[in-house]
Amino acid sequence: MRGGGKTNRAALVFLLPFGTLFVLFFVLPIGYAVNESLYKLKRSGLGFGTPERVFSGLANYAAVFRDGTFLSGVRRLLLFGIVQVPIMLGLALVLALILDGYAARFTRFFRLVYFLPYAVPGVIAAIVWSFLYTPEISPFGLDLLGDGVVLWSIGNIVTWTWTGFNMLVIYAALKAIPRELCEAAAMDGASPWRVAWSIKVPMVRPSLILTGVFSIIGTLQLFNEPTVLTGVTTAVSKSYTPLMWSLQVALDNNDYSLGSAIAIVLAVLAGALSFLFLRLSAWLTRRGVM
Amino acid sequence: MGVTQQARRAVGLAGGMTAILMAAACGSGGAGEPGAPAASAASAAAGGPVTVEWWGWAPGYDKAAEAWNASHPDIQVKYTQIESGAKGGYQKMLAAVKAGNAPCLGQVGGETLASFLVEGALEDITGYAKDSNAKFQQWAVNSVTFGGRQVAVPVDSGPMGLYYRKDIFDKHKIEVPKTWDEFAAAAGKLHAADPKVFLTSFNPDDMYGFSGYAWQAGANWFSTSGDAWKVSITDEPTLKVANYWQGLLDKKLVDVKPAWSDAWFKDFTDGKIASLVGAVWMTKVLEDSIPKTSGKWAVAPMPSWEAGTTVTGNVGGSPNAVLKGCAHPKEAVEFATWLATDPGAFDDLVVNGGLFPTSADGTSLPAMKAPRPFYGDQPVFEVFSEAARTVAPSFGWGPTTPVVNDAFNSAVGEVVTKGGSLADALKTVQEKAVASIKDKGLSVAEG
Repeated sequence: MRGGGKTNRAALVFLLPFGTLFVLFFVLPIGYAVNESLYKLKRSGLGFGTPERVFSGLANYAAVFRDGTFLSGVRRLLLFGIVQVPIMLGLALVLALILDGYAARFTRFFRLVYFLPYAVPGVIAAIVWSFLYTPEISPFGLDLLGDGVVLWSIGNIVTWTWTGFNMLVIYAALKAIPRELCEAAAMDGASPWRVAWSIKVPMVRPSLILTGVFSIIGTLQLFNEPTVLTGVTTAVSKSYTPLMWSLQVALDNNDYSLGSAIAIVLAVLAGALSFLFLRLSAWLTRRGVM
Repeated sequence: MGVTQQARRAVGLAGGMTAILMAAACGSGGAGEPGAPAASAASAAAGGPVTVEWWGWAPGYDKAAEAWNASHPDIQVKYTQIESGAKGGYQKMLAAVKAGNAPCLGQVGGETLASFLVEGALEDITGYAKDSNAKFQQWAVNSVTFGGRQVAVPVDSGPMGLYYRKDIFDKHKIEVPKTWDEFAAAAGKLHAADPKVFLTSFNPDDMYGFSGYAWQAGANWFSTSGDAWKVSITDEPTLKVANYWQGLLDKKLVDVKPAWSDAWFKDFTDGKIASLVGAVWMTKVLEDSIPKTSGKWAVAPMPSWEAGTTVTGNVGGSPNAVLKGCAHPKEAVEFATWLATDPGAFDDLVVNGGLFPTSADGTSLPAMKAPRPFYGDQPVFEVFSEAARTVAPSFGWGPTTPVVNDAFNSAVGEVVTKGGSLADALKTVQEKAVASIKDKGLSVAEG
């Protein structure tokens, strides 16, 4: 019993730094946002008096869905995610498999090269890409900022940035596969393709799911790239994604309550989608699909 | 994009983007009823030198503060340069007001004053300012007065003019257009003569520029009627302007580019855009942004709607507002008045910042007559001094300008990317403007 108490105390001490920071910079701000989202500033007439802060229940949450900005932003992101996430993770998987299987001599070099874009700060990368996309100064001579194309131009930036990161996660998982397994398969006459598909890919499934969840959350939080592009094209509005809208509402309109409500709805949505994705992959596994 | 663009935009905003003449709209003439100064006791109490904190971003403000401090030991101004309003400066001020540590004075554009007012972020300075208001042009005082309460001291304004490339006009024998009809004809003639060159550009994301055109035509987007806001973004003058530009867009006679983008400035540098109808503060923006074309530009009065008449639009004007919680409003107003009306102080602001005065005798400052090499040594501020006398008196801004701005940018942006008409886009902007004011819990008058 006494020993157990000591362990608990030691655990508490070790948890303290994390716990303090977690509460200060995570739990408290979220609590503040939730609280903020339940209030509204009350004004009347021309509004030249000092506004009064009043409890408004779920009115801000109703406002999130009222004018369609949120839903059209989410629809845009879903389309984006359905196309971009599989392409990015597919690329990451292929690159990881190639690094793992071949290129043994230059592995470190290629690993670094693939990962390098991730080391470039996102906004800087987006600014450089925005130069490449602007027809007047672009070497491509294409209009990559038009209304129908710009979502995929953003997808290109995101893929460029994040493929290397995802590749590294998958690659680390590949490294953890016991070599004997692959050797045994090869002895039994399995081709490298067969080994990759039937042994390596199933073995890195947890990493694929992890990167999948990260990507879903990342997609819903899409912000840097479209925000930078608002400066070079009118096809990207300041409410292009829900997170951008949240910021626009909070900062431009000085309505922190609605801004908080948008952010909270978005967080719940990200949680729900991630959960669904996990359930879906578990279900697929049970069915033996993957 | 990036640093250069931000810098340019900052300069533009500084020169006093944003608008003025609010109050003519708000139905109150300058010093209507003298407001009771709230914090007067606090300001008079303490002895010794008083420190007034001041936040702004206009070029030349730092030097102005130094000059004041050297000659006024009793009132020391502590100037802090912040990001321009649209780049986060306003948000910073509002957050500071909320936190209770705001500066005494803040640079707040005329288009944003009402938004600050409905956030409860401004002090009533009627009592301190009324004695010195005669030093300003009356409309400038109107523009900072709401419902009989003055909340800011005017600084600069942005009368508009026609900037044009003299060399390109001469080469293709284009007369400087005096009316908008002549302007449209010139657009056709120039583009036919050289298909790579456009007479001017249309910036779908520049509501303030468009508002200047509408202002000239006699529009009044926001006004008050009793205890309610009136929103008229689809009034007849604005629709006239929209249809005019729609015509140029449909005939593909204008270069469509996001305002302040690198692509836009590159087209200026390459001589693909031969003119620009813009506010006085573009003088310095063009000088700084497209130095390669120096000496080739000239300035003429803004084209008018009817031959023989001159009415000018206005874009910009950033007064200094006294923010909520200021302990020394009297001293703050004293300094702000000096800044805007002292001949020496404003002469420096014209030279250092390209600001255009709102003081009654500001147009006689020596710096206003200075020739500018970028414009072939034309003393361009003289053109704007003339223009400033003919600024239409009706235009006003509302309490949700940032929202209206975003709505304009996305609706008009869709017109140029997806098609549709400017008139329909303005209808959308109108609806969103009304909704945004109602969302704030304020009243909107029907009709």
